[in-house]
Amino acid sequence: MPPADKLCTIHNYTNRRKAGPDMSKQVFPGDELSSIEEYAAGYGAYDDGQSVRASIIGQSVLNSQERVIGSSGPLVPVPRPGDTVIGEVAVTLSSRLIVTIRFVNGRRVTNNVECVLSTRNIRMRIVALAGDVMVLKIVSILNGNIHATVDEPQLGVLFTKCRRCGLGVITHRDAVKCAECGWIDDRKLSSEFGQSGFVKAQ
Amino acid sequence: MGTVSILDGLERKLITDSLDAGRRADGRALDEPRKITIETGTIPKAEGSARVRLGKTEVVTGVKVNPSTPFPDTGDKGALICTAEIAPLAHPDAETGPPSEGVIELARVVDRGIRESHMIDMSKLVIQRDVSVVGVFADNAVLDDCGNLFDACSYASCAAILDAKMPTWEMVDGAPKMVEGASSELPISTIPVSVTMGRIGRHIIVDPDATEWMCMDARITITTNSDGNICALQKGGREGFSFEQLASCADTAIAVGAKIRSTIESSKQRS
Amino acid sequence: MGGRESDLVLLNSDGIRCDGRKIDEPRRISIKAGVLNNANGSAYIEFGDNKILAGVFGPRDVHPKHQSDSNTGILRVRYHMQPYSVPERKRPAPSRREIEISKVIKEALLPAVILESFPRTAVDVYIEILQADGGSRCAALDVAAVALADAGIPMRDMVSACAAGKVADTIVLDINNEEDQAGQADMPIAVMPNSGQITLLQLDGILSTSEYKKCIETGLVGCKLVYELQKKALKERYFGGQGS
Repeated sequence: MPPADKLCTIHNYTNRRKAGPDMSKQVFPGDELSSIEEYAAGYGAYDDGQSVRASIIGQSVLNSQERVIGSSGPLVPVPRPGDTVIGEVAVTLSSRLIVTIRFVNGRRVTNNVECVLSTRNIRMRIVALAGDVMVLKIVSILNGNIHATVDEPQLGVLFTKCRRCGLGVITHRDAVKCAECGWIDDRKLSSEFGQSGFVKAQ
Repeated sequence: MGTVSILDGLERKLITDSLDAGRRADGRALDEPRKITIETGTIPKAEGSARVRLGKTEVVTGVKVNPSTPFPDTGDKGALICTAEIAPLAHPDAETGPPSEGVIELARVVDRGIRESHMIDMSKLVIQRDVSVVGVFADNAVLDDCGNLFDACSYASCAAILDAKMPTWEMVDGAPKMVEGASSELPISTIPVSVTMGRIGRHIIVDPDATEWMCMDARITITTNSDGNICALQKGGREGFSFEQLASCADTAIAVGAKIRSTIESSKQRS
Repeated sequence: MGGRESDLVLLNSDGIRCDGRKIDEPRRISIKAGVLNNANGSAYIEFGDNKILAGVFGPRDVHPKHQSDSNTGILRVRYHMQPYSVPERKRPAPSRREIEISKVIKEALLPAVILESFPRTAVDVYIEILQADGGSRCAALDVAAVALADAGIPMRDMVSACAAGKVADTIVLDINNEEDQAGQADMPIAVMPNSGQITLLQLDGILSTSEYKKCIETGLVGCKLVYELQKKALKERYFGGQGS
């Protein structure tokens, strides 16, 4: 069996049920799952114009309420909408941040894919600095970019440094204060600021 | 130390906290190498071959033995060429194209250990003096890079050289001609074993794994021969070692190397 | 494909080939999925005396950047032979043959992979030939398709490949190295087994139109056998070898 983190569960579907032994089956890319009249292609499936077919190896997954069929299987290192990611701020621009993704739902990834965080509607002088570690939620994949949000208390900066002297900071109400020089600065802080439990020995 | 990202710093802290508490992240003792498995004869079409796993690191080495033209100044000796390559499937950062300086260093350190220990008696690899000699090519392919490629390639090269069958050639009309059905082992005089140690802060660890390798301040590869003498060295990394540290590293290399040498020797007996 | 004169009996009067096989019998094939630690997907195949490893990375960021496409992910394939994989030591730099095979394998896989949901990324397929025998491009393609599926890359279908050819005036399945050297034709074929689309087809040698059709039909029978073995390898990795 592959490691458990290589198998995904489809958490995007509400009322998902793994079809009973008579319904759920092991599927391989190209296997026919249903006709297009019966079900729509969900995650792990595609529509070839006549049939819905599996696109990844896995267990077939049926959502009979929404009439969607798909397959669960090995995960690719690219996040999907709804996933939580941890990454490093690569670039800061006037109205957005580019963040290189390092963890997807707690799983270390090495594919250097970036996501975009719009900062236009965040009323803060500094949301994050380049090099900061942030936790974000993926909202969409649009026009070739992966878009993320920080609009939840647990989302935002996990680790940062003082903008003036580059040393460690402590939280100071909603802001951060340099432990060395006392400089106080804005950041969109995560409620889990400073917690490094996601880093594990490989 | 150069600029280290916050994530790298967190990873390093995990490793050093564990070392300060007297253990390694994977539970090994400081002077304990990872599990070594050696299979020989993996590539039957090569004259010699070995697949070595050092923890999760994996190397496949093939040895080719061909007649070759000697260099003008060494017509009384055979030729040895040892190469190394990190296949791009071995690591997300491994690249296609010309070898990086790190890969060239890897190949040269592995080559030096075998060459300088005089593992193969090159004077016995002469078909006709100054005209034709035997060339031994040991090509190392790293297929999974999970740290310490120096030792993995060195053990794989040794095991593949020990596994190699050398055809016999005779000179016919000024050119070497293979004698059907006559082959022998390569003339082996000693078995060199490299032991790579890394320094992280004040701790010295044997056979660093991938995460430890990323965190090392300095490293040293010490190759010893069957007599327990030191025959090749390579210090690397962005910081240094004290004299006392180096003295103790040599003792470790000899002690750890002796056990690994018997593993390499028994890989030959099994095949 | 020289049809070179030799003492080798390619096909005897009982219809047995030089390695003891019947005309419609493939060589021994075994495939294992998930053999590497760092790659996102991987597989190993032994196909006759071919020993081939494939690793897949991605979808991941693209270097150089100008290769990236904002509408879709791209597929890149590298077929590479180890110096010791062939009788005469091969220089490590890629040859023209390796570059061409990389391209035909990429084009054989492209119709199968679905990369539209991974814009600006690349999926890299790296194939290492550890030991080469006849039919290495088909074996390489078979193992690459398993590695892609192991990586969870969405695919419309598997891709299964096998060669057929002409030896001693007879169409035979799965040409080995000796038959490749001394036979009359070698035709590697790859197919997407569910859709029936043929995504790789090459020919070295001379065939009549009827032999050409027979040769494709024979090759497709081999592809079908390979397809079952590809599924078996994936099944062992993901379902522990249990029946469905």
